Amino acid sequence: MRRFIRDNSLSLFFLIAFLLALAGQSVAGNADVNARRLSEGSAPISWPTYVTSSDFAVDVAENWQSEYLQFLLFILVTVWLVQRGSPESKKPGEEGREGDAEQRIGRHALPGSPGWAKATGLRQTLYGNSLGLLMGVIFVLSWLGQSVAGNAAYNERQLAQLQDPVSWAGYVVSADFWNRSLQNWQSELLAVLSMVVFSVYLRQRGSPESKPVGASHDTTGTGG
Amino acid sequence: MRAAVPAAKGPTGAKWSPEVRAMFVTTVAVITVGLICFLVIGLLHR
Repeated sequence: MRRFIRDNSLSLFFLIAFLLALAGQSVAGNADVNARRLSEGSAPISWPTYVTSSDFAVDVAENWQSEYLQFLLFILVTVWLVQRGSPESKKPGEEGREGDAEQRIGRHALPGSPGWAKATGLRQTLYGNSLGLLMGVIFVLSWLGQSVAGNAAYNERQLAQLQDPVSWAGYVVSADFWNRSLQNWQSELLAVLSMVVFSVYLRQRGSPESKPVGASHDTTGTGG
Repeated sequence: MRAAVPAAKGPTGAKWSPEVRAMFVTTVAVITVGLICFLVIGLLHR
C-alpha cells in the first residue's frame, strides 16, 4: 500500500484535489443558485437537486472542455512549432513527426517498446497518435456535453422569464454558448503561453516542468 | 506538461504494473462518468 501511494503520488494528489474541488464547487454553486432563487422569490433547491441540475453540469463541462482543448493543442502544436529556450519545446530543427528510428517504432522498436509500437500499419498509426486522439475525443464530448447541458440550463432561464426556449442548433450559435466557451479558452491559452515563455528564463528547482536551475536560457527541451 | 519517457522494461515487453494500470483505469472511469453525466443531465432537463 505504501509503495502504491509512493509510486502514484502525483496522480493520487490530482485525483483527490480534483474530487475536493468538485465537491467545493457543488456546495458553493448550490449556495450561489439558492441566493439568486431567493432574490427572485423562488424556493431554494437541495444539494442533490443542484448536482443533478443542468446548471451544475454546464459549469463543470465548460471547464473540462477548455482544459482538454488546452492539452490537445499543446500536444499537437508542439509537434511542429518550437520555442527556443523552453523546456516545453523540442529543439529548433527537430520540428515535425520525426523518423521511425527516433520514435522507436516498427523495426526500430526496442525490446521494452509497447506491442502496438512494434506493429505496423493501422495499429502503429493509432497508438502513435493515441494521446492526442484521447484528449481530442474527451474535448469534443465535453464540449458536446456543455452544449446539451447549457441548452437545458439556458431554456430553464428562458422559460422562467416567459421567453421562448431555443433548440440545440440555435443554442450552439448563441452568445451564451460562445461566451462560456471563449472565456475558458482565453485563460487556458494565456496559461500555456505563460508556461512556454516564462520557463525560458525562470526555474523551479527539482521540477521536471522546468530546466535545471543552472541551465542556460538558450537550452531548449531539457527537464530538470 | 511534458510526459517523461518511461524506462525500458526488459525483454518481456511493455507490461503495465497493476498499480499504474489501476490509476489509468480510475482516471478514464472518472472522465467517462463525468461525460455521461453531462449528456444525461442535459438531455433529462430538456
